[in-house]
Amino acid sequence: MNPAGLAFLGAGIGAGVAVLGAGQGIGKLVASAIESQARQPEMSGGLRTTMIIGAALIEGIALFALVICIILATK
Amino acid sequence: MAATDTILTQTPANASATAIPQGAAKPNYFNEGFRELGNHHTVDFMPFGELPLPYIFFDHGSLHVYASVESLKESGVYTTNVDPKFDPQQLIGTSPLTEKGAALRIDGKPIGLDLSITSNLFFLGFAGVLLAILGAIAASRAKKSLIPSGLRNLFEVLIIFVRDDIVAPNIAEPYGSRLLPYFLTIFFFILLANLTGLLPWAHTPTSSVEVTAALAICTFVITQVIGIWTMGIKTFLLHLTAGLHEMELSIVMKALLLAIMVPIEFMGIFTKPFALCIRLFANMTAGHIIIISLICLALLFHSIIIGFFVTVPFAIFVYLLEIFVATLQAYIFTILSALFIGMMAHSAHDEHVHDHDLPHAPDGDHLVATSHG
Repeated sequence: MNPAGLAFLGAGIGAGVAVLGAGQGIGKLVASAIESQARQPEMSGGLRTTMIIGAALIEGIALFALVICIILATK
Repeated sequence: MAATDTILTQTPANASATAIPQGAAKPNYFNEGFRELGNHHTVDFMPFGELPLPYIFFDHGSLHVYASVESLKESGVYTTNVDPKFDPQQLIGTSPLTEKGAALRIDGKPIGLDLSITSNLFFLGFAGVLLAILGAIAASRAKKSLIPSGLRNLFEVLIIFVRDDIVAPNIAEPYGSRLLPYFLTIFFFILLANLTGLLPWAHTPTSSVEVTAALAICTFVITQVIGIWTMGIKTFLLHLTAGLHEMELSIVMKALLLAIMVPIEFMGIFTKPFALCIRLFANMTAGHIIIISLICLALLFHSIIIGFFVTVPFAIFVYLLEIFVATLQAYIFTILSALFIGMMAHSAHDEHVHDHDLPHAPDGDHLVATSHG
């Protein structure tokens, strides 16, 4: 197998795994945020802000991984 | 490499031919599509021709200005790395996301200082000028009557949102109102720069890592300056020990922990703006890559059915999603900047250091913790 093929394979698998982790993280985050909002609707404004910040941080980590995958795939 | 091999075997003649002969390598639509995302030296108004942007160098002690690629090549000193006519032979060895039409010296020496106006710079200027004009119109309407309407109303809603929901909950008061203009500037500028990229023929300035890095560096400098200003240089440096200098531990234990904690805290200073930079860049690039991939899919399969039932609906969906992402990323960049800057201002208040240096410093319980919305 030539190294370029392995790089493409790595990029594909890497993108998949990164998205898997980010999806898990954001899913858990939103689930608990909705649960808390249902218990205390008066807190929903602050919770939404915190949730968006958390989601952005998780997404940032996933995007680091995706940037590496793009670099691998376009080399 | 497989990707470049297909370009290598492809001749310019069959790249333009609609029917690809059997056995010949297919053109790499994806690489050519992705190349459109990079920085260019022209603004492309597709059926109506293109606007060349000037090449400006400060090279070997003198200023060189060329109006377009043609005059650059006539100079005999410079050439470009990628031919604008997409000569496939010249694409080899360049990544699709690099600059298209970047200048090179014929003798192979590096160019001194490249100040060329590229499409990034052009559309950054476009967003800036647009923001100035819209802001001036909104402000002039505010002078005429007290009742907000139309454009002025929109500006007011966004400005109050930034003030009350982004800056006030995160930054302690004397700094909050002093830094408000900075947050308003980055919010509106990133918002307009992101939305500029969704116009036809436009290039997204925020989808290149240099632009977002410059924005992140602004936040980084303000964070550190506020930190040193509020805490003083000594407390600022002690901040790097994560509170270990106050703990009662044996000398060996302390030395071991410090050897781990100080590098981590030091790296933490730089990872925050780095994450800001990569987040904005990757978010703005990702949507474009998806749209280009969808368009390339129809080209790859040579099929109207795929074009009609896959490319068009999904591209429109991603485009609408991008409008949302453009707004969200402006918000995220601003609120994370506010958080990072606020952490520095807050920690100064918690420790009550150098409070006498601040002319208008409020009490510690003045920390604005009001939650809105």
